Amino acid sequence: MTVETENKGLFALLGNPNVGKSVLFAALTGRYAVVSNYPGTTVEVARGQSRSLGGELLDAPGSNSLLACSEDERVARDILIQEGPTVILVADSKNLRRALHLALQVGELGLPAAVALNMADEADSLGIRPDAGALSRMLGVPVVRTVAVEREGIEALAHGARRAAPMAWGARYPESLEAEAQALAALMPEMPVSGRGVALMLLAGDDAVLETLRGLGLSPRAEERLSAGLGEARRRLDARRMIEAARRRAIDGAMAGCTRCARPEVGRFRRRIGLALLRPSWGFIALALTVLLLYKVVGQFGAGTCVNFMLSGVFGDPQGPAVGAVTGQPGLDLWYRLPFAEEHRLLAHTGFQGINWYLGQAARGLGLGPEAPGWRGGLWGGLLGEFGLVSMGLTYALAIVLPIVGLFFLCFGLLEDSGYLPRLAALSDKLMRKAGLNGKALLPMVLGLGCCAMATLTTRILDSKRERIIATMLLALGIPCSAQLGVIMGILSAVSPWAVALVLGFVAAHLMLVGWGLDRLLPGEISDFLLEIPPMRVPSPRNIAHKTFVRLRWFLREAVPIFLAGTLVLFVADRTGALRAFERALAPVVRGVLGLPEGTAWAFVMGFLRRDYGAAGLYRMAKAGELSGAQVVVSVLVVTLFVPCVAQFFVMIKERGLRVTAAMTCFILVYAVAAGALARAMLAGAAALGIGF
Amino acid sequence: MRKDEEELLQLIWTMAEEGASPLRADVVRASTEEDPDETLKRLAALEYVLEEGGRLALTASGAVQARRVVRSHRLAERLLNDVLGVCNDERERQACEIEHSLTDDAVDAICTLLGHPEECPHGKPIPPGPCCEQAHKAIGRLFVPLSELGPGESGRVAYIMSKRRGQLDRLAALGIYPGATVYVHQRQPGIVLQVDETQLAVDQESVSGVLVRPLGRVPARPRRHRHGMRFLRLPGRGRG
Repeated sequence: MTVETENKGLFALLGNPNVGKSVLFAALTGRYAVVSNYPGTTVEVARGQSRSLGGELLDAPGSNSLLACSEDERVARDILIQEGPTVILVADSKNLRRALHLALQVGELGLPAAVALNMADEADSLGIRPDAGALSRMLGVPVVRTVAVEREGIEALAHGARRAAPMAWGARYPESLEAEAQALAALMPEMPVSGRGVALMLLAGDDAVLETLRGLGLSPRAEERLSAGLGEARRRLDARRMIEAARRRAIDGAMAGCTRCARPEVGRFRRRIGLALLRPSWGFIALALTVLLLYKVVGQFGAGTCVNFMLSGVFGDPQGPAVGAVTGQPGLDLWYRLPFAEEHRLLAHTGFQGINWYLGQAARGLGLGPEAPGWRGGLWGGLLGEFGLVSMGLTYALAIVLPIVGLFFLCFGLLEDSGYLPRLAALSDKLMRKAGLNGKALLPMVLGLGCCAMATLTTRILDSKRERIIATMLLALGIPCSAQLGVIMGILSAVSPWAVALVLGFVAAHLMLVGWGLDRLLPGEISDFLLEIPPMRVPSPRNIAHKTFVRLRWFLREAVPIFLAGTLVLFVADRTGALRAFERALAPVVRGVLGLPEGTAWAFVMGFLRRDYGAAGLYRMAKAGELSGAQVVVSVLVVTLFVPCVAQFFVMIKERGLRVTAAMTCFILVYAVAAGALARAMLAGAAALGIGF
Repeated sequence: MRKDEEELLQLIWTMAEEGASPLRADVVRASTEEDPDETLKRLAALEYVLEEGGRLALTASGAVQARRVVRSHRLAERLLNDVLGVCNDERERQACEIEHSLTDDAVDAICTLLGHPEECPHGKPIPPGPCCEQAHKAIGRLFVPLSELGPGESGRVAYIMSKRRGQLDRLAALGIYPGATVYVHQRQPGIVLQVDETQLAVDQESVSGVLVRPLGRVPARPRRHRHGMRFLRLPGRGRG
């Protein structure tokens, strides 16, 4: 069977998870894709033009085999079958065998390929030397040694990819199997890859390939014949095992010819740390330290010190000049806190009195003060009033949320790149099973702490539909996103550290409870847990800085317009009296059931625009002393459990469908209020016993 | 007992495994014997098979005989597949030959050699014999499930019983395939394995079907790398 090679302008990066495809993608296209040290960072296909390749480059999710288990692996497979690109096979040099497993399948599809032996430096330090020349001769395709993070070998790889050729190397299958594969291949529709390769996938037991073929125009009649032929072949042969054995022989042969090993046992220290973190004792200590770090950096330093500085110092109040936090004089204090001592040292005192104050002065100068009649006063209200675009929208976004989110992204980037998260996932497997998931699902959950919308996409790495539904539900219900988490921490730590622990405990208990319930309700079983643990790595400051920057830019682009729009809606509602009416309508629930001031209703509703926007509303109220300790706990709990934000909502519809999403949202609405009422009752009970904040 | 009788008993047992007692007509159609009706008549006379409403059922004594044949057939398949490396149609044909000539003692010996496997290469259950029950009590089996290796122990993968499609391939892609050496870093709270340069966290379930030959306490990374040893081997072996 011949393969069309006219698709010259299209290249695809393919490789095992966590081998650095996204780094290569960035190096070849100049576009940044998020890079982390755990498998499954890329779940969607990124596309970009590459000048050095002279064509379009696709970055596919990592896959161990073209026989797909999870949805992200299917994405990679379908790209190959449907688009027939030139494959740039990215191999982890120290794990060549696994790349060869994939290479065999690419070869069987007849696609032109080139191989990047990536992370060559890591393999070097382990004393493993894959022989690029020997491998190239054996496979019959260009093989290039690369260290993508250092941009080493990128040009050579681009050059190699342009000279890519179909692989000359392959597994030798028994004749009986070959005959079956050829017979099935004859029934396949027109496609850019070899029918024999696809037939082998079918014979190896991957029925999902049929769906891909349907997409390529497989007629129902042809499908029937194909299925019948397949069933017959499966009855006659133990095809799975024959394929597996033949591939193993081919790979063994290739490995023997292409790998030399010098002196291992380097990097033992990192290895030992990596293993220690998989043990419950050290793992727990590391978790406690991580949470403490997040609390200190994001909760106290970010939501406390930084927000204070930005809010009352830099932005200020249009109604009055800013007051120095240390000196108490009008103006802006620059100061720092001595670690481990509750002492504030003044660095400098400036006369700067806050952006909003100066804006207010300028407006007054133009005769646009709050007292001005007609539209002028209205303009003041719209820009600098209680619900003003500048004094509320912009100030919330830049003074409250930006510092918190920035610090969170920074800490989170460090965690992601260290290799700690997969270890945490392995440790949490047993716990996650109680909630109907397995350890792998911890990755989307932790990612949800960054952004739940992105994390909902990441649920694709899970192996069954059932687990994807449970994970989506838990993400929508109770995983606070970075912005929200930071603001919440800020509100709660002002009450007491115990309030932080209490709310986190409540949320965790509700997540477990709902997960447990879904586990009982949904048919099926928890799937097997198989997770690759990457080596521990020292995060590269460059990648961390870049990643934080990209994420912050994304945040500003997405959040600021929404904050402004939300503020405008609030302002109009306030002016037209809709706000009061709405608050009164919701009063029975908010005041009656939850025992909260009516104003909090808006925080809950605005949480739908952006979760942190709602939380920021609570932050202001708590700061103004409108909420008691118990009310803070209840309102924060409800805002955390409440409906997902718009972005997440749309991702949920895209991933899970409208019906499932609607059902989840209705459930969450009721559940959040019920959980809030329960917490209120418990706190009231505790207060009656003399326990309170 | 005659060979054709044994074949038919085995066929009825196998068809009954898939659900209810098979229809007589189906059995006759599926049989490869020359005159299945004649054989069935003889089996009925021996009181091994009962016919009721067009369906065939094994009597108690018939079931004992059928179980014996099925057991030796499936163990023979296992032997050809795992130890001798014979695959496909050839294996099937030879297993059919071997099963009739094995004594009960020989069957038990094969069973012990293979570590009392529970499934044939097609994933069908192998009826356990007396040797299997003893083995469950005795220590030191030849092959043990990977999930039973202790921390710090290594094993060479001998065979993978896969429950689901794709699992075999998935494990192979991660480096767990017959012949691979697996080292167990820890067992609690989850199992952590090392295969070559890949570290894997797995649960009990996903590796309970991986049978390994224990190699005892071997360091995680042997001083001479596996692939490094390859080219020390005699020429003419293991290349291509």
